[in-house]
This record gives sequence, structure tokens and C-alpha cells, in this order.
Amino acid sequence: MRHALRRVLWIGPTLVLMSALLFAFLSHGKHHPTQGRAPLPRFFQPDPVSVRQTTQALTARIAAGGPDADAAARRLEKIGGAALPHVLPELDALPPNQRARVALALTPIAYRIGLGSREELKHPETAVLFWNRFWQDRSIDFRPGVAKRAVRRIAQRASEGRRDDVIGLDTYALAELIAALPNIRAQEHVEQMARVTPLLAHITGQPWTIKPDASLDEARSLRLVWRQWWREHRLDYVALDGPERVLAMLTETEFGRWAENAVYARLGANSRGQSVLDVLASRAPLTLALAWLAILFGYAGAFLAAMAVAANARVDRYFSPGALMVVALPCAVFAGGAAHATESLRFCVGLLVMTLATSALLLRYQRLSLRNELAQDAARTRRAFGHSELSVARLSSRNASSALLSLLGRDMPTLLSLAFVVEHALSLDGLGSVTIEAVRVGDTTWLMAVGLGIMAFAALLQITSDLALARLDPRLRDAGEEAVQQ
Amino acid sequence: MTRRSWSLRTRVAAAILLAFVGIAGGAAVMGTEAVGAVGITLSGTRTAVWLAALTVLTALPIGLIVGAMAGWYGRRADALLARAVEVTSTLPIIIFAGVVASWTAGGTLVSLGVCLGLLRAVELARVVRGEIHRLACQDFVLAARALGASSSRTLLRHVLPHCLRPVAVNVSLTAAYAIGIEAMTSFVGLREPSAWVSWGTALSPAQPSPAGAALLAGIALVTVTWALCTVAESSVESSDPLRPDLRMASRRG
Repeated sequence: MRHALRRVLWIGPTLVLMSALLFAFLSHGKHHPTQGRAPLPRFFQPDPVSVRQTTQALTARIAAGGPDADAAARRLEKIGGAALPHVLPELDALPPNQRARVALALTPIAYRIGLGSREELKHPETAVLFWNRFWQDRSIDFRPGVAKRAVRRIAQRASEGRRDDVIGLDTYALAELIAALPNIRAQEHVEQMARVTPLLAHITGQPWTIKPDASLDEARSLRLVWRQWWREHRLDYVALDGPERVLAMLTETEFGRWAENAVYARLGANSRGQSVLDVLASRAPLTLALAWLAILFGYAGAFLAAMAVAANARVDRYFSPGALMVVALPCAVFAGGAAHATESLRFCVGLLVMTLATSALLLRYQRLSLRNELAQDAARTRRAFGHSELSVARLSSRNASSALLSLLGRDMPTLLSLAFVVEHALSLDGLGSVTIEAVRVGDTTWLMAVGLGIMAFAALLQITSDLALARLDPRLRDAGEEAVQQ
Repeated sequence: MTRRSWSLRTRVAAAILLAFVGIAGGAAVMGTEAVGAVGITLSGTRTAVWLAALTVLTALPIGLIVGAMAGWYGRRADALLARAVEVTSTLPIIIFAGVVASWTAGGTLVSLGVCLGLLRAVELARVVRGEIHRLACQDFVLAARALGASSSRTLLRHVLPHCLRPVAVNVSLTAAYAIGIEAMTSFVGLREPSAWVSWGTALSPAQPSPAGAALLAGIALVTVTWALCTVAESSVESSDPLRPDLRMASRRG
């Protein structure tokens, strides 16, 4: 038992390591999650770029006034209030003409936070004066504690003044606003979402808001959307210092993004934008039912058939080549003939195909194992006492079935692969069709979830089968205990 | 010494395998166009034999070396192999094969064969390791050591040759495995259909193929897999001391 517990505890670290290996393998193909986004390194980011570095680079480009100054100004506008603590303190250090260019580039931010008049911000000299005055008056507001307090107040109760306080901080308050999106458990959390999301939408320009009377499910999905957006754009608005920077070396990578989504966003989104956990929850029952029933009937079939062939040489002569033929048959192909039947009939055909394949595969092992048992003294003694061959085979089957049990964990991944193909051939709505589609389009998020799920499941099954083996055969249990003591 | 002859079934299976290898060789030498049912089946035969050979040629040396190292020399190699077996046995093969088959760089059939070979090498190494553990305490090995044979000489001259029968069984199953997995990935369309001609593609209802191609490809696939499994099974049975006819023969002396 201690040995089993130790193995269960080792599943966690092993899965972490395996997830990295599996990710490296799956993202090696032509399709990988960097498509359509800024490319990230796969496992290690030596120099994570946060808002501080981005803002400094953009300010330098705007100040230089080159051909890409307009693009830099647009990007700076998008970064918004989060850029101000890094730009405004350095403004006086710039030469006058460069200072004027930067001050003018910041104008749209001033409009967004509702400060300054068009006249005041139109001319370079007055714009510089405006931003100098702004920073003298408001620099004290651009501190994490102030942002946190302002957001907490609006999350508790909405009012014009509280709203203006947050809008005045612009994107500097984004981290606190995202943190204020509550974990939805009651209607009051939906109402809090309805107070916070309009501010997020105003500051970021995204359309995702919610009404106070929306359902809990709507609120949950909106929260997921905002958190997903924040994970992707966080470093545009947040500066990294100390441990955060070290952590970002691992999290600001493809693998880190996947791991973050897996933990915080219901295993991430598949290539169709659906939550992987939701799709798994809706489709896995059919696949698991198919696999479990195939195991149940397949093992029972192999157990009984092995007894029959061990007891009668003539049955053995014809049955064993037949079993080999079933192993050789591409069963899923023949199952395809029932692709247009009703769903329950297709399920039954799939189950029949998988049961036959499982039985035929296992029969070979059980037959050899039972034959060994029938040559033991115990079996001879039973024969000497007048038991029939079938009875001797039945009584020896318990010891012989250790071969079948030891295969339980090992065969599960193969059986699930077979289930995927059978589901595909029979157009059943299980995990198979989605997984095959995911392999085709290179949907790493889905494949990671399915792959790791199967690995964890197989590992647990292997431990279970080892425990059952120890219960079945005391020699194995004693050996295991000795190993633990050593 | 008991004469261990192959049954008629095994001889038929071996003849079928030789015939398929001959057909594949002929198709490769003469160049077969994948046109018509027969052409597709012949090209599929060439693909199957080539892939099986590639998988076996990858798995065999690696499996033998790693298995021998783990079984004969040591704890670390043994522990490493145990972990590798655990990992590969929990790997969902359809995802693995599908992803490898979808790689386009540098000859996809070669990548698939090599990757399947690496996967099977772990299984082969496990078999070799187990067999070496069993043989290590046999009298002839102790005798070789007592006569002063070095560790590596004992392994190479006395132990490894006795592992060849289970290795041969595993090789047959590896070939059947490679052919089956390739047919499966082609059947469900996990690779570009234009990359190579396969029995699995001919069997797939989603792919247009001439009349009779599916039937011929199905027969070829079943026959080859059956023949490989039969040869493997016969090798196991011919070495089984509990086989009824061998017991009788040994009693007769």
C-alpha cells in the first residue's frame, strides 16, 4: 500500500515532466500555438519585455521622429496610462523638439482619461506644459495602492466619482480591474462583474460587458474571456521586477502560456474557440463507456475462451488461429459499414468490434499463462482427484489471470486509440472525431489535454492493476513489501 | 534434442511473407504506378514492407543495445529503461503516429518509420532485459565466468545469442504493429493522401479509390498481419516446453 501511495504521489511530478516533453513533440509540427500572435520561445524567455522596456523603446522612436514614429505613437496610445509612469518622469530630460513630439503623441491618452482641452493639447509647447503639470499633480495616483483602492471602491458600489477615479488611471488600473473580476458563485458576483466590465471595455476598447441580471454561466464565460485576454496582453501594461521577472522567463513562453491556460482557463481553448474542459466533459463519457465496456466484456471473453481452449485441444486448434485472424482484421474498417445506422446501433457495433479485438489480443496471453498453470502440481492433483479438464482449467484460471491483470494499465492507451478510430468510422460523438481533427489541424491545446489525460488515467490503472495483482498473488505482495523495506 | 518443426500454418504464413517481400521488391525495381486497384495494392505493399523494414531496422539495434545494457550492466540504465517503458506504454499511439505522419519535413514515411521504431525499441529492450535477467543465473553463464571470460565476452558470446528467439518474435510483432499503425493513420486521414500510397487510404471511404481497391487492400492487410502474428506465435509455441507434442516427444526420448 505504501508502495502504491508513493507511486500515486509520483504521478504529479511525472506528468509535469511529461507535459513538457509532449508539448515539445506536439509543437514541433507545422501547426503550433504561436500562429497569429507575436512569436514566443517555446520553453525559456531569456529577456521578458514588459511595459517599461516597450515604453522606452517607443518613446525613443517617437522622439527620433523617423518614418515609424506614427506607428510607435499609435502603440503608445494603446498602452495608455500604464506608459505614463515610464514616460513622463523622463520627459524633461529630452531635447525640446523631441519632448514636444512625445507630448503630442500622448495627447489621445489625455482625451481618453477626460483631461485637457483640444486647444491646450494641440500646440507642442502647451502640450509639454500640460503633461508636466499633470505629472506634478497626479504622479502620486500612479501607485499600486491607489489603483487597488480605486478599483475596490468601484467593485463595491458604482458612482460617477468612483468611475472617474479609475478612468483617470486608465490602463494603469487594468491589473487591479482584472483581479476584481470575482469568482462567480452568486448573483451578487454578476452584479460586481457588471460594475467592473464597462470600465475594462472603456479602457481597452474591447466590447465585452455584461448586464447585472445576466446568468451565472454568462458571467463565468465573460470572466474567462477577460482573463484569457489579460494573460495574452499582460506585459503590455505591467512592469516586471525581481521575482516576477524571473517567473516571466518561464511563463512568457509557449509552454508557460499553455500551462497558465490549463490551470486558470478550463484547460484553454481548442482550435474552434471552445473550452477544452467543456468539450471533454461532454464527449468523454461516450468514449470512456466504450472503452470500459470493451475492457469488461473483452476480459470476460478472453477469460472464458482461454478456459475452453485450455481444456480442449480440438477447440484450441481452431480457436487460436481464429483469434489471430481477429487481431489481424482492421475491425474499424468493417465497423464503417454501420455508419448510417441509428446512434445506439452504431454504439453497439463499436462495442462489439472493440470487445472482439480486446478479447482476441488478451486470449493469446491468457492461453499461454493458463497452459503454464495446467502443468503445475496443483492442477495434476486435481486431475488425480477426478476433476474434469474444464473444471481444472476453471480452478487454475485465477492464478493464470495475473497476465491479464498486468496488461490492464498497459492496454488502456491502445484501447483508447482504437476507440478513437472506431468512433471516427462510426461517426460517434466521442473524443475520437475531435482528437483526429485536432491532429489534422495541429491543435496543441486539445492534444495536450487528451494526451496527458490518457497518461494519467493509464498510470492510475497500472497502479490499480498492480494492487489487484498483489491481492491475487501473495508472492508479489511479499516481494513488494520487501522492496519497500530495502 | 527435440526436433522443433514448424506447422503447416506457419510455413504458409512464412511463404506469404516472402511473397509479399518479393512483390514489394519487384514493385520497387520495376516502378509501379498507383493506378487501378492492382496498382494501388502493389504500391501499398511496397509502402508496408518499406515501413516495416524501417521500423524493425530502427528498433532492433537500439532495443538490443539498450536492453543488454539495462539487463547486464546496470542499475541506472535499468531504471532509465523502466521509466522509458512507463512513458511509452502510456503514450496514446494515434496522437503520436498522427502528429509524426503530419510532419512534412524530410520524407514523412521515413520519419514515421523511425519514430515507430524508437517507440518499439523500448519494448524490445524490455524483452531483451527480461531475457538477460533470466539467463544471467543459468549454469552455462556461470561456467563461462568461472572459465575466466570477461563480462562483455560472456554477454556477447553466451547470453545475447540465447535472446534471439524472443527478439525474433518481437521483430515479427513490430512489423505487424508498424503496418497496422500506418494503415490506421491513413484510414482516418491523419496525413496528406498524396504523401504515399497505402492500404489504409484505399480502405478509407473518405478517399476516392477505384473499384476493388478497398477489397484487395483489405485482403493484403489482413493476410500480412495474420502471417506476421502467426510466425511470431509459432516461434513462441515452438520454444514452449509445455507444448503437448513436445512433451510426448521428450517422453519418447
